[in-house]
Amino acid sequence: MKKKLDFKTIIIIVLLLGVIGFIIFWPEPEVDYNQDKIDELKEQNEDLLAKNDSLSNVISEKDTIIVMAEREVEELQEEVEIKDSLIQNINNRRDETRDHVNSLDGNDITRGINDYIRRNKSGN
Amino acid sequence: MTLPVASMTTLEETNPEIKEDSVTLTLHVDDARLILGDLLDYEHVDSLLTIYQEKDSINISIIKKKELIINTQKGQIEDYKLKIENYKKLVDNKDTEIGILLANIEKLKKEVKKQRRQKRWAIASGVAGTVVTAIIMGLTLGN
Repeated sequence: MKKKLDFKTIIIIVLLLGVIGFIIFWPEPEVDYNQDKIDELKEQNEDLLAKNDSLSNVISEKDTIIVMAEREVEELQEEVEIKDSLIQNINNRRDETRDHVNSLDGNDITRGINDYIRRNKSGN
Repeated sequence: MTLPVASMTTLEETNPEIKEDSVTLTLHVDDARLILGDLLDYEHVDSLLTIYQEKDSINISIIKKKELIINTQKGQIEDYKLKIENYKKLVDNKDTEIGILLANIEKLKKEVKKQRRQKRWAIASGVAGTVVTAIIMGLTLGN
């Protein structure tokens, strides 16, 4: 038995279909977030940070070289100081020798010259 | 120290006796003292020369080491400049990123406004639809 649809039912069905249609076919909001550009920038920044990390490593290696060189310079300067004190000693000895020679008599002078000749011969 | 010329003059005055390979000099004690003084002084000067040469070579090593330090530090300055450049680029990129994100926020604000408006329209349409339906139903039922 066929039942006739009345006007009320038709309107309800139409409204229901309309609501369902709206829910299904309502377009998603399209917003361009420029995500590609942001990702590209983030990638560039990661590369830059990596480069800076490797530069930091290079700088720290150079720091080590500088510290070692400075230590060597300090050691060499100590050697220079030793040489300076030796020079000072020899200069003092020169003065003392001059004074000592002035106080020698003839025999001592002859002995001194003989010693000098002996030293030079043994040196050669 | 006595000048050589003065010493030679003294030697000429001594009238040296020369026999085969030996020379006998008779010197005044002061002249002999002068010669011994000079000889000993030359020995000291020889020692000084050696020490000065050693000191010179040490100083050359120091200069080389300091040159190495300076060159290494120059390299470090270049590295630091590169680092600063990279940080500047990084800051620029961050600024650009912030700009994009701010633009996104603006877009989202507009979208939220739009959707709020649509929601209001949807609610109003729903209410209106219900009222209209109720009226129609009332009229239909009344008939």
